[in-house]
Order: sequence, then C-alpha cells, then structure tokens
Amino acid sequence: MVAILTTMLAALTFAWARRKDATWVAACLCLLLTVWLFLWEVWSPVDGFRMPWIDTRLERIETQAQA
Amino acid sequence: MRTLALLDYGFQVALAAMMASILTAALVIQFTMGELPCPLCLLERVCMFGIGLGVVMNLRGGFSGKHMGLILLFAILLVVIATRQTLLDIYPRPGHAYIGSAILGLHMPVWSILIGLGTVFAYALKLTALGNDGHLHQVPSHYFPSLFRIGSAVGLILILLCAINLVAVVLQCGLGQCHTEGYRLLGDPLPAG
Repeated sequence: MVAILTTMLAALTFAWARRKDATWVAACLCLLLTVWLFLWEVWSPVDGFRMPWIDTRLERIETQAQA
Repeated sequence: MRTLALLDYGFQVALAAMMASILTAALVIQFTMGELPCPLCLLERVCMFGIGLGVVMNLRGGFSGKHMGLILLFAILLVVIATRQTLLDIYPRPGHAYIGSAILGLHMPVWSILIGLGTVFAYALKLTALGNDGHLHQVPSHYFPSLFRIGSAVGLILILLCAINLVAVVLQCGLGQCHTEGYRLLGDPLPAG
C-alpha cells in the first residue's frame, strides 16, 4: 500500500510540475500495483476468486436435498 | 469554441474538487471518529486520486484524450473494487460486516460504487453535450486564468491529501499488509485476522 500511495503521490507531483513522461510512468506503475494488490486481497486459498456466500444456486440444491 | 472550452474545463475542475472533498471527508472521519480504512477502502481512495490526477494532467500539462482515458480507467477500477467489497459483506456471516459508519443509510463501499458510476455517467453526459473535446486542443486551460488557478489549487490540495494518506498508511501498516485495527507504528497493532 505504501508503494501504491508513493507512486500516486509522485504522479500527482509530476503532473503538477508538468513532467509528462515521469507522470505517465508513475501513473501506470500505480495502476498496475493497484490492480495487483486488489486481486491479491480478494483471492482466498479456499474459494479463489469465487464468492460462495452469495451462491444462491448452491443453497437451492442443499434445500432440495434436505426435502 | 471558447464557451465550450470554458464549460469543459469547468466540468473537470468540479470533478477534481469533488474528489478532493470526498477524500478530505474520508480523512476527517478517519482521524476524528477513529475509523481506520481497510485495504480495499485505501485502494478506492487511490482510484479517486487517479481521477483527480487525470484532471491535473489535463489542466497543467495540456488536454489529451489519453488523460481522459486514465480518468475513466481509474473510475471503472473504483467501481470494480467497490462492488467486490460490497459483495464481500452483503450477506451477513461471521467476521464480515460493513466497515465504518453508514452515511445517509449507505456504507462507504456502496458510496464508492455510486461515486465511480457517477464519474463515468458525468463523462458520458459531458461527451454527449460538449462533443469530442477537440476544442480543448485549441484553447488551453491558461486562457481562463481564474479557472486555471482554481484547478492548480485543487491539484495542490490533492497532493497534500495524498501525502497525508501516505503518512497515515505508514503509521497504520508500516511496510506490511494493512489488516490492522490500530496504528501499528504507534503501538496499537492487533491484526484483524
């Protein structure tokens, strides 16, 4: 998170100082790090990227099995 | 041509000012009410800074469609992250609840979805009303000195807010993960697990 905010701070500062190339490098780095950290945060060793707690189909199957 | 450019730059300054206001409110809530941001909340803040960044690039460095693309990329990423965070807590289960207080009945991730969608919608509306921004290539932002000064001031505020966020994150998380219930470097660590 520190790296992401550092690159964003650098991008904003470069943009304000009209350093176009440096702004783009920092902005792209920030964007890539943000996407990476987001995917890393939501991935679970058990569920992967799935969200079984909102899987209504699974609930229906279990209900049918109990009946 | 000049009027169209004025409206266009006005729209962009208003967008950046709105992001700065939201980020200021988030910091005020964090420091006055002691509500620490979670990792996804911090990523949503980064996306809002990204939207402001595109505007600063347009105002200070000259207009480019690429800057508009960057704004939309960060806005879409904001919607994706906030939607995923909302879905994490939408169904009550142990260890999962919306973080922070509700404002007007909605929690922060839900507000973030609305902010991201609002940005995309506002851009769609602006493109429909003002056209493809070609006029901005011929009329740079410094043709409107007052607007240029306001936009530059908003840019400085965004830089200051980003620096405060960076210091707060260092205090909260150090160089590690941000799963904390206190400011790790101030002696109240407690990983949330």
